Amino acid sequence: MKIALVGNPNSGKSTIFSALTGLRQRIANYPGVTVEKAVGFFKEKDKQILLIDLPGIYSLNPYSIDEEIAVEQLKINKPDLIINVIDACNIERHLRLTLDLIDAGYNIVVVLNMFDCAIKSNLDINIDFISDKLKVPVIKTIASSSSGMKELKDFISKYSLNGQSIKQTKIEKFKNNEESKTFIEELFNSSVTKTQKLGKISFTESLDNFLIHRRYGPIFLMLLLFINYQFVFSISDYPIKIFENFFSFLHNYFETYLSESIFKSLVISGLIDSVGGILSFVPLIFFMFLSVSFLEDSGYMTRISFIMDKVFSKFGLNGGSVLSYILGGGLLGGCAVPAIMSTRTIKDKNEKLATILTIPFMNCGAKLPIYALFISAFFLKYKGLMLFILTILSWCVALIMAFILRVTVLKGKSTSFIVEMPEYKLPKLKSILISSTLRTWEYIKKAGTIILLASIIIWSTLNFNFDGLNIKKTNLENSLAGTIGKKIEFISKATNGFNWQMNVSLLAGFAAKEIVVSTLGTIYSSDSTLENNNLSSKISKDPGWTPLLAFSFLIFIMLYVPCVATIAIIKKETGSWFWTLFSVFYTTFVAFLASASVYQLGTLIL
Amino acid sequence: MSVVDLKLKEEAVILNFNITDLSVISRLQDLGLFVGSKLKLCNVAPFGDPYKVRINNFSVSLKKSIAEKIIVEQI
Repeated sequence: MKIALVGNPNSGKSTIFSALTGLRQRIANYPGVTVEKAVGFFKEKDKQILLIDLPGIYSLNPYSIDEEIAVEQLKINKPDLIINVIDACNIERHLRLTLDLIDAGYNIVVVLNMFDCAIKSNLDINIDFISDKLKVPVIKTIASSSSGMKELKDFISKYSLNGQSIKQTKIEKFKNNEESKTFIEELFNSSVTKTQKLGKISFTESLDNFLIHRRYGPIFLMLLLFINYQFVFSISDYPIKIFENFFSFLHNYFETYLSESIFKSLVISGLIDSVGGILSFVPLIFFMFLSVSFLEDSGYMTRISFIMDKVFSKFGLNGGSVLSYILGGGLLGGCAVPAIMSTRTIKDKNEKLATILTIPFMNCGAKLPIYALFISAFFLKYKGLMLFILTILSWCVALIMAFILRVTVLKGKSTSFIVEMPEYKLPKLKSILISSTLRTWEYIKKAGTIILLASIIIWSTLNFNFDGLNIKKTNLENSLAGTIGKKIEFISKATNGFNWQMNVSLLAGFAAKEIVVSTLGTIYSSDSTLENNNLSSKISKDPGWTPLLAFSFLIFIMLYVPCVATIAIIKKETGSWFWTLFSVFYTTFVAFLASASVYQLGTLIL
Repeated sequence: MSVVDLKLKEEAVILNFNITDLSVISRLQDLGLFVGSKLKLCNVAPFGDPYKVRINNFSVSLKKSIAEKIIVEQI
């Protein structure tokens, strides 16, 4: 049997999904996090039941792309039963979708969720009356504490046994929105009684009077972002050291116990140094995701876009783009892949495209290890300042490019921004731990698959070259990658100051940005003139590097070609090879220009 | 007068929508804004746009270009 979960955003659908299937997934507070439909299975009295969790919708008239997906999925999947989740505190509005679903002829069961909120607000809801009037079953639940889940499961198993044959009797159709509104109003007035007048000003309202205040709002936002950085970096400092020590222990172990061979080089340079270098940053990534999940679940994320909307519309984007930028690493350490997926909430095609094409400029988690490496090599004293400068620069470039795109290839007026602002709530520790663990796990999986594979390929190009039709072992300089790096050195040296070693690491970073670090690791670990030290001190001792060069190198890394995984998702979201290839070439061109001008200007001044 | 003419914390009733795009009207209705609905202007964003209004138990953020087309009467 096929069941679909349908409801408004923030109605607690995802929590019910988890409670029924036991399969946890992301729950957040702004529209569009469940953009990919989540599917789960569970058994009820030996019946296999398929449960689909759809993106939140307000009615069957979709407004944004993720709502379109939800409505379409309903039509395609034709579920045997729809569990329509509605917020007990906002029955009036949520019932509109219920009427739409009944009108469209679906078999539904209404779940009156967050019943605790209704009790707290002194709402007395006559469930039997609603059920009677709508001619559908109604069950009350508090999904966050699993209350009412047993009743829901019992209903499902009863329904799966004999309900499918019984056609629900339908209430008469409505001619228009106004008519259904009147119906809901009457239903609401005769089924819900407020035993006590509601407090005039809600908690959310009084908090908003400060948090999105015209003057204090932006100040608080800046302060929060700053504290957030400090927290994430200081808390992950120690665990990163432990991880690093572990991998340097492995390095030394194999260094001592493996006999000199090509296999030893593969294990040490190709595997431990490269993948280990990436995995060392897992604690940082984890705490970064933890803070993002906290902001999402608390409801503050939508406030950020509320505050920033005016500024963003000046650049041809909308408030929703802020969310995507932040997920992509706007506060350091996101990932472009989920960020690009989140643009589905943007209604206007051109605004969406401009956002997608500029997200890769953000400082995603993969760029952080490179920043960390060069900051500890050259800018250790100015650690915080450097990260701040890099963050500001990435936003500037992204916004300027978005503006240029919007007045040239992506012309068009900006759209209307009408979104619900969820109530503030204290995020559940368990739920943000789960979501940040899932996201971190994605990062680790990437390290174990794409990056591992790319490291081995890159290790090969650093150690081998073609000799006619044969492949032979060479030193780094004469290897395949070395040859390419050298061939373009005459341009890169003149414009950006990059030598062939840097070119090689940039080529390698195409697979995933982290690989720049591991490639530099490989380059320096096969360089026998330097003592066996950690990578950043090796680089800082190399006379080929200067702080200016390091900075222009970082600018290039920040802006150039999106990684393989990002390119794949851009193709999927835009559905166009043109825009996919465009994103590859124009970002690299921008990177080249920006980094070259920094280098040239710097050389002139210094 | 429209939503943008309200002062902060003032309450009003929606008289009509001065909007031709039906998809925008149906979106507003989906979010609970009907002719006759009571709303309260809660906040204006730091840069003067968008507007946050409250209807019943929830809040909606509206771009200024939409807010100025929602004709209201103060209560």
